[in-house]
Order: sequence, then C-alpha cells, then structure tokens
Amino acid sequence: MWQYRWWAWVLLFAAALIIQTSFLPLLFPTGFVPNLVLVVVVALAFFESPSRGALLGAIAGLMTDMVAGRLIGMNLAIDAAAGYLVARLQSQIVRDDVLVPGVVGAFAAGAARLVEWGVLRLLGFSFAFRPFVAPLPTDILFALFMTGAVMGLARLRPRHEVDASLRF
Amino acid sequence: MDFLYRWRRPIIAVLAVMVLATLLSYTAKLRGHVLTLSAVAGMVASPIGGTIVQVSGGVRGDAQSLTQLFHLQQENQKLKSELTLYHSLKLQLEEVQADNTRLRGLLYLKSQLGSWHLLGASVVARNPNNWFSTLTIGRGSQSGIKVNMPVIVPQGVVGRVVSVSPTTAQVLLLLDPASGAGALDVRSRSAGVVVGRDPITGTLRFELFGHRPNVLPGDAVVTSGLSQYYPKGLLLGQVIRVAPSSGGLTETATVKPAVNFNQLETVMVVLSHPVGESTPPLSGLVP
Repeated sequence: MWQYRWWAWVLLFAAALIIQTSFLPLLFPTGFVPNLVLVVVVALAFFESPSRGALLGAIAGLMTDMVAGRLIGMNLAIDAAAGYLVARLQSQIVRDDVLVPGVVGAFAAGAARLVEWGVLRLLGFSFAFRPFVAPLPTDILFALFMTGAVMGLARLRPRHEVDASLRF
Repeated sequence: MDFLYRWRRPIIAVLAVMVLATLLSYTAKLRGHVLTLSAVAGMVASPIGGTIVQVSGGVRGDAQSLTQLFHLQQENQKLKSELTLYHSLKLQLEEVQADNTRLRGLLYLKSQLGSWHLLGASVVARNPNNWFSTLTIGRGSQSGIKVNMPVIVPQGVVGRVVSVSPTTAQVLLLLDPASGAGALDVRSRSAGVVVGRDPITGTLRFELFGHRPNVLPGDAVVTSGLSQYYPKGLLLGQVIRVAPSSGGLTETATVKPAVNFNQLETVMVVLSHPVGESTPPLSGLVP
C-alpha cells in the first residue's frame, strides 16, 4: 500500500509544502498561515508505529526546513516528535475517522507553535507572546478540520485493513 | 271536445298571437311599469349573472396568469443566467482593473526612476515558517539578480534579495526580525535603523540614534542611504508611536510599513541605480 512507502510520504509532503507556500498565503494573512505539513504528518502517523511516525515526521520537518532556509532542524525536531507521539497515542486510544484525528491534530498544531516559540526565545529571537497567541485559533481550527479531511482525501487506512483487502 | 282537440294547435297559435299582440300594445304605452319589472328581474338575475361573469372572467384571468407564470418562469431563468454571467464578468473586470492599477503603478515607478535599472518579478511562494518573513520571486541569477539587491514596489521598500538560484530568488522582507535598513525621519532628519519585529504585529521598530530625536507620530520614514543595501529616499513607512528606549537614552518609534505585505503579487528588483542620487519618497507615485 502506497501510504506506507517513504517515497509516497515525500510526495505528500512536497504537495503539502507547495500548497502551504503558494496557495494558503492567498487565503491567510502573513504570519497566520496554518501548518499543513504538520497536519499531513499527524494524519500519516495515525497508521504507523512510533519509530516510523518519528521517521516520517523527520522527513517532513527536514523538507520544511530546507524550503524555509532558516534554523534548519527546528521543524525536523518538532515534526518528528509530533509523528512519534501521535503514533504512540493512536495505539492506545479508540478512534474514529474524523473527530479524534481532528482533536489530536489541533492539539499537535497548538503544541508545535508553543514549542517553536520557546525554541526561538531560547535562540535569542525576542518574539512577544501576542504573536504566539494570535494565530493559535487559526492553527487549531485548521488542524481540527483538515486532519480528518486529509485522511479521507488520501484514503489512508490501517495496515490490517490493507492486508485484509490484499488477501481477498 | 273532439273539435277542440282536433284544432288545438291553430287555436293555441291564434291565442298566443292574440296574447302577444295585447302585451305588445299594452307595454308600448306603460314603459315605466315594464322598466320596474325589468329592474326587479335584473335584480334577481344580476347576482347570478355577475357571478357567472366573475367566474368566467376569473377563469380566463387564471388561464392568462398561468400562461404568464410560465413565461415569467422562463424569463426569470433567463435573467438569472444573465445575472450570473454579469456577476462573473464583473469579477473578471475587477480583477483586470486591480491588475491594471498594479501594473500601471509599476510602470509609473519605472518611468519615475528613469535612470534606475529595475526588473519586475512575480511572487511565487512564501516561507513555510510563520516566524520568518521571506518570499520567493520567479526571477533569478539568469535575469541578473544578485544577493543584496533591494526589492521595491510603488508604495515603498519590500526588502532585499538574500539568496539566488538560476530561476528564483529569496527576498527577506522588512518585517523579518533579521532585516535592517538605515532610516531617516523626513521631517526632523533624525537617523536610525528600522528593523522588523514579527509578521503578526506587522510593524517595524525604528531605533533612533540621537539623544532627543524629535520624531513624532505621522512622520514619514525613508531609507537614509547609510546602509549598504538600500539607496537613499525610498519610503519605509509612517511613525505611529514613539516611546523611550529601554535604556532611556534615546527613543524607539513604531513604524507602520508603507507596503501591504499580504498583497504582494509583483515586485521590482533594483538591478542598479545611480550612486549618490536621492529619489523622492515613493508613496503616492501610483497615478
């Protein structure tokens, strides 16, 4: 199944990056553009083991960092952690296809922004608290609706379902 | 009796003629009575007749209304489709108008800065990281763009080129915390440095050099020409607030950028400009 291949991840992240850098800035003002790549990481990690979740997060973060061209490693660490934690969480919860992924995605988006803000403060960027708080509702609402939507659009399925369909 | 029975029809006919003749002759003289009688008969008959007329008129009217309704429905559909067409035409027109204004502005800018060598470029992407304000333009080293070239629009300064590939270039916006431009308050001639804060607040920080710089809200801020990147006289923005700096020795002003960074579609890269020549502030150059 394609969703478990690394090249499929790269293609999905590339598509998400193109949308995030070219299309979403037309809809959202500067500084408020939501993190679609993180949403895709969360959606994929829901069907992966923790180690593979961390790996796909690392790939997504590295790609984002390469495009951003600044502070290479920040998105890598955040997305890898998000992938790992979501993959670890999904094995311990009962989930549906819409609500739980949305809530987890929203939580990940909020947490990622908080971590980014902390890392930037540690690195000497004097961003005030308001810039951190102001885009949070946009980030959270976007992830809330888009995580399930990405899972549906990409037709992501658990591994046992894929195996069963291949067997028959 | 047999006689009567045999001649009954002629007798009835003769009697009828006689009755008719009598009635005619009688009523020819007594018109008023006949009219009253007629009025009484009319009074009795008129509601029935009126109802019949009304009903038949109504039916005719309803039939006409139904036909009209059918026509109106057709007309309504036609008008709706025409309205949709006009709406889309209006949107197209507005878009063309906006493009026209923008391109006119760029052309005017180019004509105003005649001795400057400017290159137009489209914005193709933004930085995926919200904390940093860079954008990618669709021209690169193949078009003659080099690192540190200033990027402007008719409203003012956008930023400067920070990296170049053969077909694209990265522009660091004034909003970015890593950006900086030598700046001058037009009214008081106080000098300082304008640096970005963050993309969310969308304002710039004007750190003034002088002890009592006399900068006031509403003052225009332009490039001073003292920094290595920007030529002198390009508009940066307008002072909206002045406050003492943290040390208390000087002041820091908050500047609202002249450029709306959310609506950048096409920008001009300054490939070269006459050294030492000052240009008037760019704001309001759009005809």
